Amino acid sequence: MSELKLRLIGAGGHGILTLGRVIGSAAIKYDKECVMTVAYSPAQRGGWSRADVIISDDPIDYPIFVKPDILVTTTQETYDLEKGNVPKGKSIIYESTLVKPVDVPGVKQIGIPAISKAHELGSSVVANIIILGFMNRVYQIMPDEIFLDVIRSSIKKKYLDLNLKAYELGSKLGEEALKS
Amino acid sequence: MSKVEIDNRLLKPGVYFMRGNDASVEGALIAGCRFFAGYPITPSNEIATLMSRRLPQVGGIYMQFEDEIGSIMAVLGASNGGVKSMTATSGPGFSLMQEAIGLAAMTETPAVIVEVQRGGPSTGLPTQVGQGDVMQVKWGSHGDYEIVAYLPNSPQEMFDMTIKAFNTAWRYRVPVVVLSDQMIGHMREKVVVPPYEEIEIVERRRPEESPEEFLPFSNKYLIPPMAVAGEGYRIHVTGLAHNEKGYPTTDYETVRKLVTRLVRKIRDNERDIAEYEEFMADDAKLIIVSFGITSRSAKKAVRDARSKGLKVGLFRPKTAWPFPYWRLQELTNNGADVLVVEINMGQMYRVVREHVRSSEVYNMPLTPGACPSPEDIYKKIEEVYPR
Repeated sequence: MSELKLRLIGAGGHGILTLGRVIGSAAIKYDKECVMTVAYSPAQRGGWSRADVIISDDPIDYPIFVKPDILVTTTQETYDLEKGNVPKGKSIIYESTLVKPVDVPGVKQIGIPAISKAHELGSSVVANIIILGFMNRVYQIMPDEIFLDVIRSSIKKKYLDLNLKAYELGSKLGEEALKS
Repeated sequence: MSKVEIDNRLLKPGVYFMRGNDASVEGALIAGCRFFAGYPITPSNEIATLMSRRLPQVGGIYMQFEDEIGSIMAVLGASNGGVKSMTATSGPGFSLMQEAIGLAAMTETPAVIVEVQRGGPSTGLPTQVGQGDVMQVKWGSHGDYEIVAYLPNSPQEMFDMTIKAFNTAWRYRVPVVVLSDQMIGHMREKVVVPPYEEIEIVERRRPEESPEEFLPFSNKYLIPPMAVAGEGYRIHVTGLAHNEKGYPTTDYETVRKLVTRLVRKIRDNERDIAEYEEFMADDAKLIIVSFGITSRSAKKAVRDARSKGLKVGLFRPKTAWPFPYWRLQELTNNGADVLVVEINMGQMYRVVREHVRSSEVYNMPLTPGACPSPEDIYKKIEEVYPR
């Protein structure tokens, strides 16, 4: 991996920015260079939020990009907004309880019912960590242990167990997706 | 040079994934800042927010004021009271602070102002990037004075330069601005907090004379030692032209000495204060001058140009004021042309033109709201590259 561009986008409350922070902190721990920029839709509530993350072996000059290598999207609105920016040969991970995908030629699309799975675990707030475990199983961005370290050091004790379970579940779902 | 006060409530040395605005706060606390006064404004809000939580943890005081005028006046008051103090704001708030910045310059009150630029003029583009305050930093208040402004282009530099800003402000007794922008302030990136013993911290120089002999604005010094109000030294602080005792005067010779000193203390030390970065500039036929977020885009454009055989380099001023003109003159003495890229309609361009006389100086004027992409800058390079 010389450079990986991730675009994470979803509704406010979906934990998109937290997900970006966890990935960024992990990248730094893994001795990579990483930069994250954020954007919000101009709505006081109900809007989207976006985190663009670049992970690289070399210093990153310019933090902005248009075309991601992996797009993670958790709402229909943001899926519709961003799917056209994903180049051929690159990937989309979508939240399949909320997003009904359409055909995007040349783009690999994988759905994960992260929100309903998070509900089953006990709280919808860990949907983002389920996605993280899933994404890393499928794309092997970094060793799992790096992400788990960041989760252990940054999540409150009360919620730690839930988050670790969420990561594990995501990883298992990723495994299944790879098989199918 | 003194040491960082060892306090386990400060951010520990290590590597962090941090937002630029947050890095500025942690840098300020390590530099010894224990007072912050401010008024909310996008895109600098994260600084006030984090300060409101962190300052009480380290025994400091956070105050939100009725507006930016009250905020900066409180910062100057705290500074005269012996506390390292700062505020943070953006363009519209910075405009309101100008009169008090002149007061700080006249009364030689050290203070740090972190200005996270957004698009202007007026309330402009609250959430989007701009670099239109380069001239305002220098000329915003009336009369003759000199000021220092740093130009960070990463969260790491938000950390480093906030510490430097405190050092420079307290060494030279001037207000110092960290002139950042929305994208640098909101961006997250690796920030290394070095071991404390490697961080230089400057404290105010205290008077050595007895209280009877002490003159708060003595011309014996280029930068007079500064007493702390309430410690027994007689102090009089006024924005009026004043004599060595600090009392108002209209005596021409006294005023001449005062104003000359206010200007000279920075101008005589400009080469110690100014900083810059060069990237592939030595053999360049075209040198891009750029700062803040645009300098990162420009750096990529320089790499792209080099890969296509064009001899392009980057000169990045890390201080807007003093502007490191002497180095740019050396780099252009062989006839290299210059292209200035900034998110304004040509502010630093004018400064560069003032100092570079021997070759062409091109401008890439940009309206606020977006950072030019490396491709945008590369196109301009192709257009003006000397052939």
